[in-house]
Amino acid sequence: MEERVERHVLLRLIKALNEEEELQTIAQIISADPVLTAKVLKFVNSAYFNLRRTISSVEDAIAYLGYKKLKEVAFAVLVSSLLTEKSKEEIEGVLTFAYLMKLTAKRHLPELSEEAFMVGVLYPVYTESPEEVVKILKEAGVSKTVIEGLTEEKSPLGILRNFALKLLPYCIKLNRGEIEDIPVKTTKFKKTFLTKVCLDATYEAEKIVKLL
Amino acid sequence: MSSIENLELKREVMLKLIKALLDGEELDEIAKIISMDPNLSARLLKFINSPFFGLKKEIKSIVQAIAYLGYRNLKDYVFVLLTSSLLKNANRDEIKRILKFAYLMRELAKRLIPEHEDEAYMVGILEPVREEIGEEIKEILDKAGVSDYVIAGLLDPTSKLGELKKDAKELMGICDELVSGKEVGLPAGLSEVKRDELTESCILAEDSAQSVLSTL
Repeated sequence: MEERVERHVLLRLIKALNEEEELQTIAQIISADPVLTAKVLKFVNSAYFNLRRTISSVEDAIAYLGYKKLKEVAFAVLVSSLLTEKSKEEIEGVLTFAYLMKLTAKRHLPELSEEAFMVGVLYPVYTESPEEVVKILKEAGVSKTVIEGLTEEKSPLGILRNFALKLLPYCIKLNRGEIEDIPVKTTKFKKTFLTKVCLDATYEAEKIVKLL
Repeated sequence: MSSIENLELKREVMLKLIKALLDGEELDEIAKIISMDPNLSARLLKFINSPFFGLKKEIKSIVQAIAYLGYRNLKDYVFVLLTSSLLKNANRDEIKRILKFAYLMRELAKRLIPEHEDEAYMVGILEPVREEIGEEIKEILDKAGVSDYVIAGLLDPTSKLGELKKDAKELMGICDELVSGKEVGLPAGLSEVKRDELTESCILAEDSAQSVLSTL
């Protein structure tokens, strides 16, 4: 059976990253869990980064990735630990959706792109157990904007989430080669932008899913 | 500009830093190199604490600044600093044009040679330096341990990045027309990329350049 990272460790890590804690604190949290340590080192030494040397220390791995990328990784691991019944392909779909949120927010709500990712990655878990997720998020010190993005349809991230939900099936078709571009009509984004976002989101999701 | 932006940076320290980042050296080593130039340390701390990042608490240590940014973002930032220090007389409009060109190179590479997008960005940002100082750039980049692939992109027009650079220059010249929807002939070397995608690349490059410029 695949070893899983303790959920409370992930929550502590996300909280520490949100609060911009010192590098040593972040490294201590990761190092306290051997499974998480192995995952972070595996990710940073994966072919995607094409490093000229092997990174063997947790502190170096954090510094290489930076806090924002590490937070994305922590959320991906958290969500896969919550969605235990889902296959790797389904988790990849969840991550693709999260990156769709992030990349469209970068153009439309640039100051909220990080929060948009969080809403995207948490939404499938939220639909399954809304109360538990809100509780977890409060515990992890996640911002009100993210919670509203999940709970309120008319919040800025709630609106973007609904848009991304409509976009996702077309992205899947695009990646399977069934369509050549995105037929979604919107005044906010150009078709070519959405096509690019779909391809980039899938690529980013593939990168992370391999470490789960 | 405030006084920190006017402080002279040590070029050899920036080159050493770029090499260390490319090699994925240990964090302590990266921090040690940055600390060799107090002006560079001050610039980095000012950058990380700028409204661009919207941090909740001030970062005071170099190690913490590196960890927050991550190596790739730090490398991009040092390249911008290096370029503006090499092109001392360039004004903000020129720096913005250089950045836009570098991002255009990265966007085109993403579509055509995705495994070389970082190198394409480097060629883009260093091209104006090559135009100003010529072949001497080879010596500087050799010292920094920059790959032969990038050096070829700068000095050999028949290399992959050399060809991409030529096409990106043509595209840069017609970006405004493309974005405003005017009918304009496209660079022959970019025939694999759709008109809409080229327009999107122009928009992204402009946005990225503007956001980096606001941090300088």
